[in-house]
Amino acid sequence: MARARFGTQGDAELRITLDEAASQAQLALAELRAFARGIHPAILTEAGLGPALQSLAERSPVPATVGGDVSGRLPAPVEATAYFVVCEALANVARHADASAVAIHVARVDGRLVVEVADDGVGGAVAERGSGLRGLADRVLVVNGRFEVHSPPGGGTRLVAEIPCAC
Amino acid sequence: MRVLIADDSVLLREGLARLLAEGGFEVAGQAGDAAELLRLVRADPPDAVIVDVRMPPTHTVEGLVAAEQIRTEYPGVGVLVLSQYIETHHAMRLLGSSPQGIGYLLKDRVADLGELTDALRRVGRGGSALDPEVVATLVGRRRARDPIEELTERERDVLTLMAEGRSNQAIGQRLFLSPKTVETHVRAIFMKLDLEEAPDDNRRVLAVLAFLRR
Repeated sequence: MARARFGTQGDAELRITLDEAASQAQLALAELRAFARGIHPAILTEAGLGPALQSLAERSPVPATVGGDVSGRLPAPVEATAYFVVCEALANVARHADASAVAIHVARVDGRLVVEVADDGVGGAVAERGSGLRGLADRVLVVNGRFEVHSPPGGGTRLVAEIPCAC
Repeated sequence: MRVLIADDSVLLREGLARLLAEGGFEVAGQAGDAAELLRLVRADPPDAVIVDVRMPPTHTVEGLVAAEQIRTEYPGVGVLVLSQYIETHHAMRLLGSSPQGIGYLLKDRVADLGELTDALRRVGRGGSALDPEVVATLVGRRRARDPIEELTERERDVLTLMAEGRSNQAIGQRLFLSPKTVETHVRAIFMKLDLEEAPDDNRRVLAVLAFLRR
């Protein structure tokens, strides 16, 4: 606002300083927004898992689609775990899979939410200690869920997380 | 143009009011929450309102709900929604089936008074204004079979500005193109994306966004 107010008058030095301050502030805000999205995005709380996954898919560097039953709201810990799984899985696909497409699928089966992320990349992913996959498995186990990785060399990678929920 | 401002930050409200007044707008009132905004609108409907998404009491989507209510009760009142962060989901929810007199901008845009007043005027006149970040996400989205890759760079620029809600005239001014050239690009885009040409700007925004979202 100071920039808009003084931008057209006053001395050039002031204008440059204000311009710099404004662009620094905007950069910081943009980075903060991107960071917050990775932890717990507002869209998840406000609109639920469907829109939040759609938002992840829109930003995925590897073309991503969202399918299955993503309507309605689920208990917050279930939504958060499912979101985290997909967020990490997409990051892994972008980093390691060399894939041309990735499909996110969500289903509700017998009191469990089943989240699948499958790509058509190089496969060969293993859930070793300290890896991103291990972290994902731990996150799902914490909520008494199950986590599986199918990743034959050359056969793409499919992650399946089953999260118990009264849904 | 008569404008109401709703934001729970007094500082932002006052600052905005002052800048808009200097920019030739008549600031008819200010509200600190959605209830107060609705009361002011009902008492004396303005040409447009600026409303923050997060307001008391829960600081979640009060502004979005108020925006939808104003659109239903007073379709003639333009609504420009400002948000701390931008989501396609919220944008599409706001635009709904008739993107008339509606805008959705990142709050950071208030730093650029020209952009803000341009969007406010468009919305106040029954047009639409969609934040460049929403459009950039949608246009830049990676697709398995992507017809957007068949567009030339120039056509992609035109598509982006169309999706932001700009008229042919405004697109021409931005890109230094004649109205005729803009029309040619628009036709080419609709053909390449296999879309039916829309009769007016508002329906054009819808057609383009629906395509970008699928």
